[in-house]
Amino acid sequence: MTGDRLRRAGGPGAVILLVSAGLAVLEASGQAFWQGLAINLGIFTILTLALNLTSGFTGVFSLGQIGFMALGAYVSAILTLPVGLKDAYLSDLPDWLAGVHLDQMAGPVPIGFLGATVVAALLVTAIAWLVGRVLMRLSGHFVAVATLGFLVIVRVVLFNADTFTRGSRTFSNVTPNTNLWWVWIWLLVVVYVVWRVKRSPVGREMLAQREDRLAAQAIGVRVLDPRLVAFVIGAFFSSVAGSLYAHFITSFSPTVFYFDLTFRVITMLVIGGMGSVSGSILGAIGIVGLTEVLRRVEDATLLYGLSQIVLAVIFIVVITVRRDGLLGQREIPLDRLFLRGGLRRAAATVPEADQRL
Amino acid sequence: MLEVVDLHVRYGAIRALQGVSLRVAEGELVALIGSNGAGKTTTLRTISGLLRPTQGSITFEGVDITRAASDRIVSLGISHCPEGRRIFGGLTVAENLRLGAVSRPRSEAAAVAEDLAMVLELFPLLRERRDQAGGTLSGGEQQMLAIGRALMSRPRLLLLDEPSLGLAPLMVERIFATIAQLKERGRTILLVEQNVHHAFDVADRAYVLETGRITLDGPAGVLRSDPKVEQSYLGVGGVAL
Repeated sequence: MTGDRLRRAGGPGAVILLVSAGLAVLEASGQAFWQGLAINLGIFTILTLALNLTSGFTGVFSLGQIGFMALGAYVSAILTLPVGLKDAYLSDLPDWLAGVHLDQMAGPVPIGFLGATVVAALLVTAIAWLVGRVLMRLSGHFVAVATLGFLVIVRVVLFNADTFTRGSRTFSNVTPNTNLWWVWIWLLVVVYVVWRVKRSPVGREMLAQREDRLAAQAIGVRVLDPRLVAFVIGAFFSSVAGSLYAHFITSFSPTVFYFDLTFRVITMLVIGGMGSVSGSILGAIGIVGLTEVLRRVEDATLLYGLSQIVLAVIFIVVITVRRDGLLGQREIPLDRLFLRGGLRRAAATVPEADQRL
Repeated sequence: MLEVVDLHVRYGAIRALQGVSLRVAEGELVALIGSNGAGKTTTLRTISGLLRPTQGSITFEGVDITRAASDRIVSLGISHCPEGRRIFGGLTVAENLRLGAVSRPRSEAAAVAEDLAMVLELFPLLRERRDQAGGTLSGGEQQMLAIGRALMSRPRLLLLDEPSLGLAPLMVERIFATIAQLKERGRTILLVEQNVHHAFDVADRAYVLETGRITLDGPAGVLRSDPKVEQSYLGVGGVAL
C-alpha cells in the first residue's frame, strides 16, 4: 500500500524535480527574457487554474475573475510599498494604512511580500464570498453578465479611488519581489489544491451540478454551496496571481485588468479543457507560447493585432470542432507513470475511479 | 406517510396541476398513471422540492415540506429518481453512487458503506462497471444506476419517475422485478409510469391523473378492470402501449 502510494507520487514528483532543475538552470543563465516569459507563463497558469475551478468545474461562467486579480494586485502593492515611498507617492493614504509596510526580509526571503499576498488574497476572498452569495444563484447567461458587471465595477472603483490607487495614473515603484521561485511555489500550491478539490466530495458535487442541475438537486446537492466554494477559492488564487503580477511588472494601471486579459485566460481554459487540471496547464503553455511567437511575427511584418486575430480564430475553431478542448475533463494520469501498466492502462479506465469503493 | 392536499402548480400561464391530492402509507407502493402531459412528473418534482406549488400542501411524516428546499427534503427521507435517468455521465458509476449519499453527514459513513453494498448486491452489474464513466452504460444499466443512486440516501420514500422509459422489453422486466423486490423489503414507493400493465402488477394502489387532476383512484386490482381505465390506458384487449 505505501509502496503503491510512493509510486503514485513518483510521476508528479519527477516532473516537479525536473522543472525545478530547469528553473535553477534558467536562473543561473541570467537570460532575462526567458525568465520573464517563464514568470508570465506561471502567472497565466495560476489564472487559468483558478478560472477552471470557478467556471470549468461548476459550469458557472464567470467573467469577473480579472477583477479579483486587479484587487489582489493593488492591495498587495499598497501593502508592500515602503513607508517613505507611500509618503511621497500616495500622500493622502489614511494613517492606519500609511504606516503599513510589508517589506520585511527574513534573510534573502521577502516574507513581507508573502504576507501582503496572503492578506490581499484573504480580503479578496471575503469580497468574493459576499458577491458570490448573490451571483452564484444565477445560471447561464445571467451569471456571465452579472460577473462582467463586477469586473466593470472594480475598474470604476480603481479609477476613482485615487487616494489608494492613483486613479488612472500609473501605479509604479512596486518592489520587484516576484521571481521564478515565488511563482513556481505558488503554482504548485494552486495545482495541488485544485487537483484535490476535483477529487473531493465537494468537487464531485461541482461536477454533478454542472452536468445536470436538476438531477443533482433531486438527490440533495445544495447547488449554491459547491459553486460558492469554487468561486471563493478561485478568487483567492486570482488575487495571488494579481499580487505576483504586480510585483513582477512593478508598474500598472487599471486599464491592464480588463477584457483583453479576461478573454486571454478564457481562451487558455477552453483550449485546455474545462474541468481538466492538466488541460489548463497545457492551455496556458500553448497560448503564452503562441502569443510570444506571434509577437515576433508582428514585429517583423508590422501586422500589429495579428496575434489577437489568430487567438480569436483558434478559439472559434476549438469551440466549433472540439468543444471539450484538448482534454475535456480528463487528466494526464501522471500518478501512474511508475505503476505497472503505466499510462497506457490508465487510459482504459477513468483515472478518477475511487479505489476505496 | 406522505400526504398531498389540493396541490396547484403553474408554469407561467400553464396550469400543470389543478388540485392534486394523494397519500402514500408506509410500506405501500402507489402508482401514479396518466398520459403525456397529465402532470405526473410535475407532481413528483413538486413533492421533492424542485418546483414550488402556488397552492396546496405536502406533508411528510407530519412535517410540512410544501416550500422546503430540495436538499432538506432529501435529508428528511424522500429520494427522487428522475425521469430519463439523468445520471452524471462524466462521473464514474462509483462516484454517481457516492453522490447519492451527499445529504448524509460524515458520521454515517459506515451506514453509507452498508447501503453501497446493498445497492451493488441489488445490481451486480454496477459492481462490474463501477470504475466506468456513467455515460458509457446502456440505458438499462443507467436506469439501475439512477435507482441505486436514489437509494444511497437511504430514503423512507422513493419517488420513481418512469423507470421503464425507452428501455428494451427484457430490461423493463428486470427493472420491474427490482421494484417488486424493493417493495418486498418494505420500501415505500411512489411510482410514475406509462407502462400501466407493469405498474398495476407491482402497485398496491393507483391514482389516475388527467390534465392536472386526479380522476380515479383505488386498489390496483380494481382499477385494472375499470372500464374507463381499460379503454384509455390499457387499450382494447389489454395491449399496453
